[in-house]
Amino acid sequence: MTSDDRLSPGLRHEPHVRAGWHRPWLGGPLVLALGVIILIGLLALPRENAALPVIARHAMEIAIPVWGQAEVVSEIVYGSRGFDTFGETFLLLGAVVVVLTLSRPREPRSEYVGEASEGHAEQCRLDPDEPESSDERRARRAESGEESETRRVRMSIVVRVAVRTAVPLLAVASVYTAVWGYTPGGGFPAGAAVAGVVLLVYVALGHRAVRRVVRTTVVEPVELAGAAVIVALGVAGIVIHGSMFANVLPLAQPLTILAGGNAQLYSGAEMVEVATGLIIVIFSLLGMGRDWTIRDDDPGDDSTTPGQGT
Amino acid sequence: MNVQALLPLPVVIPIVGAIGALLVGRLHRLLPLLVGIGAMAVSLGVLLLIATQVLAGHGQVITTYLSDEQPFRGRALGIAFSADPFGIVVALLAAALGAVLLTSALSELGHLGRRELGLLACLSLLMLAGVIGSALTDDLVNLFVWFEVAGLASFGLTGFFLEQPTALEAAFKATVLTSIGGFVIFAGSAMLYALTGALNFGQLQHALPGAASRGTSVAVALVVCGYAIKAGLVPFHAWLPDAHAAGPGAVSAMFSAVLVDLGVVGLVRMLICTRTVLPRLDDLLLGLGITSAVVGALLALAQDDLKRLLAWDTVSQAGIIVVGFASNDAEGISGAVYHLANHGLFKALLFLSAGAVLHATGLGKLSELGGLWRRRRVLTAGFTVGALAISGVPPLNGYASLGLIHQGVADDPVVHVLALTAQVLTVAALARATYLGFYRPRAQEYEHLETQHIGMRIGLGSLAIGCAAFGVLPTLIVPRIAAPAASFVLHTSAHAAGATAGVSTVPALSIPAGLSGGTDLVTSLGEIIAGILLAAAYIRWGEPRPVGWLRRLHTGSVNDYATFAVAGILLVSVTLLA
Repeated sequence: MTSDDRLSPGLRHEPHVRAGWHRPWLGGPLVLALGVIILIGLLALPRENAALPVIARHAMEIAIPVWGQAEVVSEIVYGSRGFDTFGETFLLLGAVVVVLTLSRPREPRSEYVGEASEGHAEQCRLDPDEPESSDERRARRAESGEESETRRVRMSIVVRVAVRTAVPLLAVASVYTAVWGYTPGGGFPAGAAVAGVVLLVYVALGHRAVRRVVRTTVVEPVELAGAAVIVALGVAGIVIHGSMFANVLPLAQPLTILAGGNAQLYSGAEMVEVATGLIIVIFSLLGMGRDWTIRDDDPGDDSTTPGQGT
Repeated sequence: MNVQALLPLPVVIPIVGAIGALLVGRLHRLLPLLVGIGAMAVSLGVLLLIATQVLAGHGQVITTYLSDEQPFRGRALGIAFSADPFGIVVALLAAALGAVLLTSALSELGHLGRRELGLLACLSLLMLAGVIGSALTDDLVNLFVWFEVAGLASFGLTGFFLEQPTALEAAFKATVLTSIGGFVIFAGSAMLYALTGALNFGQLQHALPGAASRGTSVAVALVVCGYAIKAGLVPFHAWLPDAHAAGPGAVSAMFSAVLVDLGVVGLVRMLICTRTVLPRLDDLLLGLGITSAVVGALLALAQDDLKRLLAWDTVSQAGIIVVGFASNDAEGISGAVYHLANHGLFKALLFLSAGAVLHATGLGKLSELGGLWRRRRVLTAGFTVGALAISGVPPLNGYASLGLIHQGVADDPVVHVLALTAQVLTVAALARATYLGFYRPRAQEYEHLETQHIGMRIGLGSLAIGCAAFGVLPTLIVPRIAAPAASFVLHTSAHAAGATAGVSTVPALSIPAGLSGGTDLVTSLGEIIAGILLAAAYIRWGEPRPVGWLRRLHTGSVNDYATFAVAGILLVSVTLLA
């Protein structure tokens, strides 16, 4: 539990800060009881040797003839239940946009915004006379470039050469995972691996090496293009077969690169979507340094300038 | 192309809009919101086209199977997407309110930064798409997916004003509690699949055994608790007042008027699927609903922050809606469907007005406001219409739907009395807010008082007209919309057949419509007088001690709120297991 001395004067008045004694005594038994309930449920489930549900067997039967997919998980994800994946794609896009929203820098606003001035009042109320903590001070100084604690140190030559050698291989392997569609989930793991490759380059060779690629202005249109391909694929199903995400592309010989028809293209677009989404999220969090607290020397805060529009 | 094939479009169009909103922000600041309004309008158009077929006659269920994966012998691997008389009401409401609220946002928030407007429009559209998807899907896992999409988008919208420390805190609380909800829904759905081999709701209904096993009880309890978190039922509610009070006014309006319905949709689907197996679920939801109605209204009465007051009222109203659905009575359920739409209209109106007040003055506390009726007539009129509608003043819309719900629970005296009490408290809370915020004299001028833009007036005006129209037309709405929806919820066979056979007809159900007799009018009048007296007493003498205790229980700590939720999960599981 937090000792009172370490709390700011503003926080000390918050009712919940000191009322924490009950939590272990209340939370422990409750979580235990919840565990028992879930266990009761789990014990009632069919065991491992029970028959597969009929729809699961059906999925196995139609994987190759209907969807041209040798991998049943990919068939379900990009074929029979493509609409779930459609939702998940935009779940991911939503997550990316939420991160962008919550890590965005301040923008000039042309009119009085009541919420902003209420927010500034709130900030003052929360911490009336708390001195800047050392963390805060350091962060501010680092941001304004006055002081950077972490000196730029280059990775050793061994690391740099190893990464330069491995990256092309890893990149090809990641893309292969999605394009040939033999991995469960196809585009999802492939996209994560592609983002991993970019991260690896960043860690080994520094921001300069990836700067031109990871800018939001570059990555975001690519991500949106991936999303547009997925939407177009779904709508093509409606136009041609009267059912969204019905297969509209020809199926080639199973186990070849074009085997999966729709599912293969879907998987590829998903890879683009996941990779770009993760890159945007990681680099906007890394670049997040703008704070929204009000300070007296704040030059760029239009919203608090009085007398506009009144 | 037949209407069936168009069913996914009301979801796809807002999603295309969300992609577009991010792209066009570079060209012009206002384009993202314009794209959003356009997308919601087109989506609404498609939904209206579908609705003419769904609401024809006594009501119909039409279903499409996505990925062309047709069901076989009553089993479906693919996702069934269907429009039924209940789901279409929720979808229509989401699309219509979405269009109106984005119009208001365009005018009120149009001067924000270019980038943040694009993000705001994108997240709003994703959230609306999630709600429409959840209303139309007939699949257990797909419902979870749309729940997640809408929930995730709402986190960013909650924390939109990064200047406000409370907004970020609220976003965090919403994230924690919604994640608990997501976890239990997923675990429960997985258990149901393992037990029955079914994902399609129709198939699930057939596959559930005649009597509840322990496994089914736990699985259903988990799913129910997850959606109860989203619907803000007590004791799963504590995050909601924080989250719905943060964010811009139009966004708060979307949360309370539309997003809460997602939780209700989940609960109603579970009620329909398990009615024969777990009859106790009705009583359980009746209990949770009526507790929420009373607690929410009581705490609404105690708030000083105007938007927070409205958010607590959402807890109360969602409770009353769930009471209607769980009443297992034709009148109660049709009242609940009707009230769902009505609540959407008046709560959007109230939140939009409250948001505009905060936006224009920088003040959100009732103790700091006052005298707005002299300075902002349109805003005051908007808020007043909303308050009158929620209080059940005829001929506005709250009167007719609340009357039906109260009739639906009339044979249970305890629930009936509690429902009437909740209504008196609601009247008191809104009367107090309207007086303190708008009509109380205020001597000194406001430091800031921005002008109202035209889009806001359009938003407030159309919502107020909606409140009046839904109030004076019950003879049209009850038999043509609410009765088919109630029949669909009551007659589970229509649901099952629609989900697995592609199309089904809902049995006829006749409900006495219209402003019913003198007793209703007298009850309503009594509630209003009692509510006003209570508000006056509250303003005069302040908060009674028990309300203070109830307030102190809500410590503001997310740990405690999670504890409430876990206690709630235990309560629901043990009740269903016993």
